[in-house]
Amino acid sequence: MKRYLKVYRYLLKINFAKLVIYRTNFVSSLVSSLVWGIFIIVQMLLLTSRSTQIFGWTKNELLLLTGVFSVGVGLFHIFLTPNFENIAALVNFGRLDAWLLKPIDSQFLTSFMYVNFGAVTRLVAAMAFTIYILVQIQFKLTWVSSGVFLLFFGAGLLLIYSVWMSVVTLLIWVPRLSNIVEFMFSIMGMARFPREMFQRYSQVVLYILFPLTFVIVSPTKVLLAKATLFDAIGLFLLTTLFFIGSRKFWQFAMKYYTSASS
Amino acid sequence: MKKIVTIFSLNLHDALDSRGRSFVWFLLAVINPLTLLIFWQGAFAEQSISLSGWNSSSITSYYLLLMLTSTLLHVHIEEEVAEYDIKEGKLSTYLLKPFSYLGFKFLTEFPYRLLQTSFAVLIFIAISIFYPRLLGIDLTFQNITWLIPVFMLAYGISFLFKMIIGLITFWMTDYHGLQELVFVTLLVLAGFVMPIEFYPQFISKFAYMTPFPYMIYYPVLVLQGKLLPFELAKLLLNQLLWVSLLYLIYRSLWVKGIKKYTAIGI
Repeated sequence: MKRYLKVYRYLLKINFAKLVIYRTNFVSSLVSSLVWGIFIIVQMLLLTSRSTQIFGWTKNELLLLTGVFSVGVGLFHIFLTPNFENIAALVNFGRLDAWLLKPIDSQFLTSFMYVNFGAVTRLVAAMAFTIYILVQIQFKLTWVSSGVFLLFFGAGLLLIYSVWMSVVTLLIWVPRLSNIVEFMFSIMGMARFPREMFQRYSQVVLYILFPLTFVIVSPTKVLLAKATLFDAIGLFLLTTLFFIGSRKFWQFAMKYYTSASS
Repeated sequence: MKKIVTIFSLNLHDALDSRGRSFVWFLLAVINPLTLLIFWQGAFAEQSISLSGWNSSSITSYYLLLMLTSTLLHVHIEEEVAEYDIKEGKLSTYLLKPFSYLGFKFLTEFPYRLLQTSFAVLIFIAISIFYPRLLGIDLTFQNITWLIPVFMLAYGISFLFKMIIGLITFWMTDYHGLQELVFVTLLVLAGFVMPIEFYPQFISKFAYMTPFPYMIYYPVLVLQGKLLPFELAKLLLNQLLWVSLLYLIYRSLWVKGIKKYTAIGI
């Protein structure tokens, strides 16, 4: 564990050095990540502009959901997105071999090699928006509520990581579908809507998206003091299952990896 | 003519070769409207939102037709122009060829759009067999005669606009920020979020001043048969104006940019 933390510290340093070298690129990603962050918020403002309550969620509650989602996505884009894009490319071009030879866990290295500091604008904007909404709904900050929230939020992030990892692992068998990474961004976007919305539409859709409906909704409900036992158990159970599952799946898939030259 | 057919079929081969990837791109274009569709259906069902003149079935048809229309009319040529042609210097090979760059790019992109649209059309035919009223396309002869020029001009606006965005790379080191900004602006102002008439007034007024509603939003309304004849005539006129304006901008950027362009070692 200690060794891995040390490795990650070095990775952060390398990534920071890269940022300083490619400055224009950095500015460019600052812009694009901010633009997307604003879009997600504007979209929800537009959707709720003509009503006060939808699916049992008030307008402010839906906006808080969007805010928490944006914070989660901000973190995701900083620490994970560049890595998933990288895995897709590595598999597609048959370059994963070199990574497997390194004396370190392959899932760790492929999951955490790159950091995109450019996405930090989205994170900052999202946090500002979330705090603004929390003030609007007169949220009372206590140690317990913020501690529980962080626990739920962390579990949500781990869950979404595991779901992504499982999907990306599929690429070992179908390397050409590397744009499935882009597809997953869209799927992940569904996590910013309440579970009741999918349920109302169709039970089947709800089941397909089931894990996603816990990632953001459960932590947000903690903030609203509306979390039920179902939200908690669902989230932690799914997180455990998916995390172990994705780990086993990656190890299984590694047996089937064939590089371009072999 | 033979030249055109050859280039077109070469690119169609490329498009068919990557049909798996292409299908994922198609799904990608579909997810967001589908989510919004689910949102509105729920909102209408519990009557928490009302939109004057629209009901649950017309809003469903709006998003379904939005998916169909955007697979055809939402052009994605800018990345190729910016990354491969201008940044990596592939443009040099086009400059030596005896036909226009604009025409060549048109024939590169069109097969991809057709392939994506055919995915959509197949799915929609399947849907309309089971739910004939779901799509709500106005298929009267009169509407179809309006539809064709509206779609052609919309494609023209979308294509020229994206070509202009691609050409801006002549003056920029990294254009990804701009690309994302354009994409998001288009999502909001071309009606991807919801029908533009229901935006807060200052946004909708602004939207109508840009070319974006003429790319995708209006073609969807025409498909639904929501516009009156004089509105259609006005729409065509506006579209013509935008096509001409964008073409002029494209030409002047091209002439200036090509002087600035350098490729090394190709």
